[in-house]
Amino acid sequence: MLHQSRILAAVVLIAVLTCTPLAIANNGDPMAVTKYQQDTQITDQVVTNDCNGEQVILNGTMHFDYFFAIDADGDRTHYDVTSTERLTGVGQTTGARYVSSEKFHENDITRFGQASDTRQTFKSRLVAQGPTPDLITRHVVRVIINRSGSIVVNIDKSTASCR
Amino acid sequence: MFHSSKLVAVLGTLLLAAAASAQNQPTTYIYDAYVDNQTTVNTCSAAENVNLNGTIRFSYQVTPDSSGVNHFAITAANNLTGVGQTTGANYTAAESNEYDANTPDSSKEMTVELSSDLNSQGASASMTLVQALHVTVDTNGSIAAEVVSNNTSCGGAN
Repeated sequence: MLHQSRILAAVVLIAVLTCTPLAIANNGDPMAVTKYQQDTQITDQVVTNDCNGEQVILNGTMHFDYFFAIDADGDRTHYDVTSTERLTGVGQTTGARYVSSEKFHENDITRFGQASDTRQTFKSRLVAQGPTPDLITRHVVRVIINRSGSIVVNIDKSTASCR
Repeated sequence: MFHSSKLVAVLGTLLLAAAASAQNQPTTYIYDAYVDNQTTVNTCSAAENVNLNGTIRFSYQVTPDSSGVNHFAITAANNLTGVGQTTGANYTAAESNEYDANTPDSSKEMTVELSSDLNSQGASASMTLVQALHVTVDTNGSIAAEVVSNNTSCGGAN
């Protein structure tokens, strides 16, 4: 089941929706900024509550706002990613319902035009819509962005716990 | 106030962990940043200031692969107490997260978030604390880290 959820969650995002050139200064070194955003659907992703073994099916969206800035001589690239996760969940045994809305932010600086390749754990609270305790989900998410604006997101692992 | 707090955090003690016992295992480098009266605001009730104290332990390993890419694996773990400046409410937080980065460069600079439950030790509501952490590491074991910001939201574990 986890394997299935990984497959479903391993969403590859390449489309570019917006592109907004700007100009800012950083330490006196002008930078060119390009902004992008991307939505992707999370469909029937299954996580297991490790406190009681119940499977919870998640649906919703992950929204990515990201930009990168390149300094004038091109040796430093500043990547900025904000991810907003909005999910609903349904427990497959109890029928308990959950709602999650979390935002994550990360900056990464690379040199000489290298892509940003990072991985971290996104911790979210699935708020129960009733007497059931809340759940905490942890998604290990790898994000790769290059200077053409392409983004690849892969959820390497997802877990859920009551604490 | 907050600026000085950041400076205190930057001046935390740099510790070099003992080399891994196995010859092929990468060395773990450790740095303790001290959180000294950093202030966050309880955005859930009355906008009360909450003073934070404790440590954030940064540890990392770097492993090069055959293609010359360095894999940095950085862990940040906080151990904090908080005191509400109006109500006197007490809070604790203890959480960790790992941040990985792959780069051909010999150093890595990133700003990440560490989200932890700020657990009330009494009747006050718990919160979620999100700390923005600026971290720079290199292949020689040097590490610099600071807390850029502390923000709260409602909904921590009770």
